[in-house]
Amino acid sequence: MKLQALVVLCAAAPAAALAQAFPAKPIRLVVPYPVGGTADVMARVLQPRLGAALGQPVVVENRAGGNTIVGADLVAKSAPDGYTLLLTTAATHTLVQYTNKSLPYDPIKDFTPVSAAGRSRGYIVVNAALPVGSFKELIDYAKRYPGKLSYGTPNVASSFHLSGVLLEEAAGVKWVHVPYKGGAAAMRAVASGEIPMSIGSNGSGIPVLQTGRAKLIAVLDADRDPRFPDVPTVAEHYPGFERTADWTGIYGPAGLPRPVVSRLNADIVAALKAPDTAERLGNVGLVPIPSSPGEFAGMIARAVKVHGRAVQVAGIKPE
Amino acid sequence: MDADALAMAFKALAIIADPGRMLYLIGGVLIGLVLGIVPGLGGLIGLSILLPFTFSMDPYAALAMMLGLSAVTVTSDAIPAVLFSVPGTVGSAATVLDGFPMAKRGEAGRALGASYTASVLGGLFGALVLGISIPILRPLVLMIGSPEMFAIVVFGLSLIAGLSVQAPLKGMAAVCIGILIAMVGEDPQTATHRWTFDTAYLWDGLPIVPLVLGIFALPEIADLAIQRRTISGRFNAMSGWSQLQGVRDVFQNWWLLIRCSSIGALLGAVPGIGAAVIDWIAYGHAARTEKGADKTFGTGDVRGVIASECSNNAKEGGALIPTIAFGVPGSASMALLLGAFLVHDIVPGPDLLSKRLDVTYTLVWSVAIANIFGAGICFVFANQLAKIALIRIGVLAPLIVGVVFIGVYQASANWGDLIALMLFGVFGWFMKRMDWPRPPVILGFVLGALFERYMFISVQRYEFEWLGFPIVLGLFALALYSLLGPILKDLNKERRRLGGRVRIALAPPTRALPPEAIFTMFVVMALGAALASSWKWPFDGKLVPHTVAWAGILFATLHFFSRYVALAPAAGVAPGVNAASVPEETSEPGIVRELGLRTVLERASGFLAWCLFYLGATAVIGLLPAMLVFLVAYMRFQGRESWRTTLAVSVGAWVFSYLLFHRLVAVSWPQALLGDWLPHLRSIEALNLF
Repeated sequence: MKLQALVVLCAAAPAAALAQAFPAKPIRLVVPYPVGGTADVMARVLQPRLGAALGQPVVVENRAGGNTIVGADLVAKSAPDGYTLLLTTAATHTLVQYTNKSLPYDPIKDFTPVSAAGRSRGYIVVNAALPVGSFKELIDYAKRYPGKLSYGTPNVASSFHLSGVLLEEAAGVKWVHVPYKGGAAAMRAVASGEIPMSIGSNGSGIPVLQTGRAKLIAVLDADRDPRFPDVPTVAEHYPGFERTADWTGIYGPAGLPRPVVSRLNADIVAALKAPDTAERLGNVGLVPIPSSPGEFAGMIARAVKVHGRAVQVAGIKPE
Repeated sequence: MDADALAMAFKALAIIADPGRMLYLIGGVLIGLVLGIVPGLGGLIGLSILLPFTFSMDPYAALAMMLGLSAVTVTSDAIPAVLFSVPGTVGSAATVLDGFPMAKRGEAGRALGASYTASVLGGLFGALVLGISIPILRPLVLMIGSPEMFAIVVFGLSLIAGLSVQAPLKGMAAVCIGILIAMVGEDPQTATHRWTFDTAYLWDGLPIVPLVLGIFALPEIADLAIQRRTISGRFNAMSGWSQLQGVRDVFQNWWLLIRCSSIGALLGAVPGIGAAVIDWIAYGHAARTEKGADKTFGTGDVRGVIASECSNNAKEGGALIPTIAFGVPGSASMALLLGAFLVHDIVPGPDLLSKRLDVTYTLVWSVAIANIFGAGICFVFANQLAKIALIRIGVLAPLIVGVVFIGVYQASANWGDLIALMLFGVFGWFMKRMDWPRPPVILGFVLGALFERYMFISVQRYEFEWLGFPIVLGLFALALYSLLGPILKDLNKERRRLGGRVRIALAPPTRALPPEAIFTMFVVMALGAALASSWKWPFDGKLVPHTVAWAGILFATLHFFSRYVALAPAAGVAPGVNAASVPEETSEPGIVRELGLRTVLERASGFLAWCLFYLGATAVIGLLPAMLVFLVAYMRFQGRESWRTTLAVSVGAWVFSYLLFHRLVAVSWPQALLGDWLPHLRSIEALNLF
């Protein structure tokens, strides 16, 4: 018995020592996107407060390339000591495995989820001149003109493209996908009348809505947007509908010691809950979603399921 | 502008004139100037470092600082462009074309004076355009849909004719090469991986920095190293005056300044058409319209410097337009600025054009004031900087190469950046030696991706109806005009020279083909390989690459035939290779003639070997330590400098690089063998270079 306790103690000691000393040097927060995107802004908003809480500088490092695979691979193969973390969108761990024949890492097994960070709200925006006043009318319109209504999204196989595909399936309509370069460009095209509809984030949608040249018809999320309390969710009409994930989260490599995960999680959650961070994120259109590592792992598993189905419905083949 | 708006404009001036905010603005300007000078670093990296610090700042000060920084990187980037032909940012690549020959002539001061003056006036012009157009911003932005964007891109591509006046056919083939390079990566239509060779690095496409520095900077440095000379043999003693001469040049060419600034401001407002092409388009415009430009442009004509420099500063004001009006960022820098807006709860859209007009005018003033400070500071130091042209090449070449490698690596922190730099460097050197125009490659690269995207969106949305839109038709007509003229002229030149009637004689060459012909054949074969390797792609994914590759083959072949398969005059002159009549190395008389082909090839291989030595050392001891070894070794053994000079210069430059890249920018260095052997080193922050 004593011997066993000793063994346990010895095994636990380095981990405990690590947690106490952690962090002893600056932390790299790898963002697998170029500067300026949602994930990057998220990282840079978190950076000052997280650095203060940890007592060590947090260095944001943009390692774009290969649909986030380059940056993710770097973190997956780094030492599990908590000094190299990954902040990325859901796509890295829940979507790329369906769009790629091979990955240099296992998106689930090679990472330790630390905490979710933030999510966008998904907007369905139509041109003001489109003769539809509600979500139901939009669907009726689409049914009357099958294969005619086109919708713009930030990119092919983006979360919003896949949500559009799932919506087509749920409502039994057929519309045409037009991939733009970025959500803002797709929304602008709605305002100018180039395309009748766009599915995108609140961040790119709000500037266009304010011009009065476009209207918000429905939101993709499970909850209504407090900014537009009268606009329904898609699920209110189609209860089975679940939007594809568009959140960001923070990960370490697999095998991150539990005490380190707890420390990081506590400080990240506190940073996300701090009023100034929440306000800044809110201004960018992001909803902070502080969560425990367990809750975050659940979100990941759920997104893997939803994406698997969406990719299948969309008929996207892995490259 | 109504009285209300005018009152707002002055209110904004009062806001920005606050000493505290002014200080932040100047701080931003100083950082921007430094980042502009260092090749590979630009406004983007500065903005991303600053962004988190601005959250807790007063919003006006934050925006002033960020705009101050991004507005002046395109002022100081002319310094390395003029002095040693290395564009400081992608925005000053066109400045090299005439600025560097001026420096070689000993007119660096004049070129710099002209470029600063053009920069500040262009910047002010851009700010003015932004300020005046605020009331009509939204309709303006809405007018430009995908079909119009497509037409703008086509028009931009057509300007290559102006960038390759001597040989439009080679220019057309080069633009095709550029477009094909842009096709590398995941195709936005079908998600096909085009020419990615199963590497994640190529998946999102090649970054532009290795392409620009590889194609422009490395070949020039290589030639300097081959010639073993200082950049300029002489230095204008009255250099203070020569700067003023540059200022005078700008005012004498005020009409050119206004035209090119307008191009900058207008194209700046078009999302996606960034700094990397605007300078070329303005330069191409100048080369087509200025009197005698086809003789003097590219050989040190100050008007080329003015065209390029005013347009890239004017762009900044224009680029703010879509960002302010709709939150559509036209570039990565604008995306970061947009992030800063949003974090400070400044939402783009109607509010910024009505209720919060003061914010918008603050932006206008920030751009204007930053340009004035930026150019002013550059003027103060211009004289000292111009003397760089006198430094011995044995010292200068390693310094430039040393920094260029690190700057390029910074682009995406990947070994791929360094490899791409070397490959493009070799290709660029051959292009330069074979007198193939290089600017079209850049133009094709930037516009190629837009070309494909907007074509597909236009067709998906309008089928073919959009081809009849008035703006589209107008731009197409302009494009046709700027394209066809020079090509017909080129084809006819031979014909005229040979006196009217000709017959085509497919006679075998009477002597060995000149190197340029072999290079042309290589280009045709490379394009053919591109075709063959993409044969199985889905239709939407290969439509543009195939069309472009065929076009490239056509142009290169036409060029080949028009030059090497004799167009013999009807009256009896023996058919044969008429290469003798082709002025080889038209833009660059002579290093082969001067040194002999053998010496040139020997020294070129030597220079390549030094670069590979640098790369190899990087793999073993890390990029930054390798830089020191490379500097010392090159200066001592290749440059034959004294140990004293070698060590003083190398160590000084290295410490500066260490502080800048490791401490400030926090580059995460490529993993090297040394770090694998001694992993302990990586855990020490100050030594984490491996």
